[in-house]
Amino acid sequence: MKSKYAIYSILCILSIMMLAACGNNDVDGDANQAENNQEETVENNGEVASDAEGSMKVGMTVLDLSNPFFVQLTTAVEELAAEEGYEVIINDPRDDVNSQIEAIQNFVAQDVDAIIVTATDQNAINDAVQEAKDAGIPVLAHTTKLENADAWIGADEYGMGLALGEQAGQWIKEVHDGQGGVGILNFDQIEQVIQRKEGIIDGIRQYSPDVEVVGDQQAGDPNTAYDVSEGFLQANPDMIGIFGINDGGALGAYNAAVGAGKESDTFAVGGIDAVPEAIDAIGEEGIYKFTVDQQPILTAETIVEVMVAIINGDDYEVENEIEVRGVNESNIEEYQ
Amino acid sequence: MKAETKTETKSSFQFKFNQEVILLLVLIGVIIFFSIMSPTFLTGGNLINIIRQVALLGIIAAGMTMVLLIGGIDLSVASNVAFTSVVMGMLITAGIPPWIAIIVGIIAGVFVGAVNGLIVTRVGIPALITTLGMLTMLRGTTFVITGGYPVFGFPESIRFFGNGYLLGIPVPAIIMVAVFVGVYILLYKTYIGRHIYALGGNLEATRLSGINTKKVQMLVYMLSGFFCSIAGLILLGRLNSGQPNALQGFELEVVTAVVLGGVSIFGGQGKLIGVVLGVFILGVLANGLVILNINEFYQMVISGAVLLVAVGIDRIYNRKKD
Repeated sequence: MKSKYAIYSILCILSIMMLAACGNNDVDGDANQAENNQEETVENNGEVASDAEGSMKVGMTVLDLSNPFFVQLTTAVEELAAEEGYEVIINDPRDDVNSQIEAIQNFVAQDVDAIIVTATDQNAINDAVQEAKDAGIPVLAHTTKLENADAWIGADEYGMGLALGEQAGQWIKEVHDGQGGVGILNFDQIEQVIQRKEGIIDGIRQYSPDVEVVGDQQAGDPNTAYDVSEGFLQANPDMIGIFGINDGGALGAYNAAVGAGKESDTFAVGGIDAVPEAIDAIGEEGIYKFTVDQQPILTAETIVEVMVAIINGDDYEVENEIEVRGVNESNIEEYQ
Repeated sequence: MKAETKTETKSSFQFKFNQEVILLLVLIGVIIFFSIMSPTFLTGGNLINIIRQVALLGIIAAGMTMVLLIGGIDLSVASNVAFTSVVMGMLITAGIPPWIAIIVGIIAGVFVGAVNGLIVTRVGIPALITTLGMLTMLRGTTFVITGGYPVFGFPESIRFFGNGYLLGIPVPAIIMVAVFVGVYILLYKTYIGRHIYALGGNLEATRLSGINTKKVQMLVYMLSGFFCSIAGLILLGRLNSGQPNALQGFELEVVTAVVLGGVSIFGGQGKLIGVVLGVFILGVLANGLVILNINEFYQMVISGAVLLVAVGIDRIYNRKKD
């Protein structure tokens, strides 16, 4: 009897963890390009209310603060909003749609002046967003578009992939006459990121239409990507490059390619996010050749600008697309 | 191995496979399948890849085996690997000589195990809950000390632990073999090993027979922490960076490998050789499915199914024993 009970409780906990683990793979996200404001960020995450009375409050819920892009974005929004006299309450739902819904409901209960949402799932949080709207609170959607939000700020996922694919396609055209096999590190668990992958492939084919995708596997973190890339290289010794939907995965591919003895004049690796490690690697002019900057600071500036305009009743753009930039050895100095 | 040949000669009709033989057959079956499906699977280079890829899983699983044998569980392993790896990385980037940073990281990993052990033995919180708490707490700590950013910029020598070779054999594989041999000796050649098995079989009886059960439990949790820190060092070298979010959810894969290897989740039963086979089955599957370029979602389905089939066959053949 007792052991039966134990089995059930173990199964329960394991399945909950499995769900959590699926959501936590830290990929969904985006650009990183972290700077040296690490300690500051940590303080900010924990802090909620300091100069309470009369101050105006804004709620912000992102995808996952273990992703450096969101660390940078939330820090920048916090600083810029503070200059306008707003205090930002930041929620980290760790990719879990349920806790994001709770966070939005809590923001409504606290009667914040605006809510900024990077949606974990656009359909699932619609009702919560509507609750906020019904309470008269403006909602700003970041990255994922939301039907009933007041404004959208974000980079186009497909465009991000395209920015990487175009750089890769040009390189393949120059170095390999537009011929060869490439591997793709995807993260098909998340819908938006599938578009990113499609952008990568379309971008490559724009310049090198004959390129063949010889491997297409899910890998959004360096460790998984390392194993996957070794498999790619094993199965296709002649392949000429591996491109990932984020720099995390691409960095794993980079280490695997270096380990397999690939040469930088014939083999390329590229990712998206412009994280510092990728910037360093590109600066070394080795196998790691491309990344894409999602411009988190520009994104934060736009978010705060639009937010203030909405609250004050001024005119504002409903759709605000943030331009992404390809990063390679030609403009790497700007990032170092 | 001896047992298997004995039973087969005894009755040619009624096969009595033991767990290890079943696992070995599953492993051989999987290898044959991939060899037929892909010409590049069964090559020296790829076998080295597989051994290197399973090293992390194997090293952590060796510790987990002992924890399960005493009737406990350690869910904090993956967090501990990320934690120790980041600690080593941060100390190295702070300018501390790498060998000191590595020793401090190892001490940190053992310390985490000791805290787990103390809570389980002294406070009396069940291991499942203790280490679940530690899993979250430690992952949080790792994010706090790094601010969520990866740590990088190490001397080239650090890569040796993850990507280096000794006599043509990958360093992580050598470390894994050393860990397995060490745990084998501990479990089967020393009195501590007998205590570990006894304790998992019946804690109270073991305690009454005069064995210091708390001491044995402490040792096992500390060893689990120690192996995590070794895995953390390999990860640091492999990725050439300390990733605070590395291996999230990996503890489940470790538990899967150990349970697949035939270790009872209630303690006292199971053999290390089974765990080695379990680790390799999972490793070969992961590698082969990528080489065949099978979609990740199917990979998850297949890996889960193999676990159930392997454990299921054992259950059916050995039901009489229970």
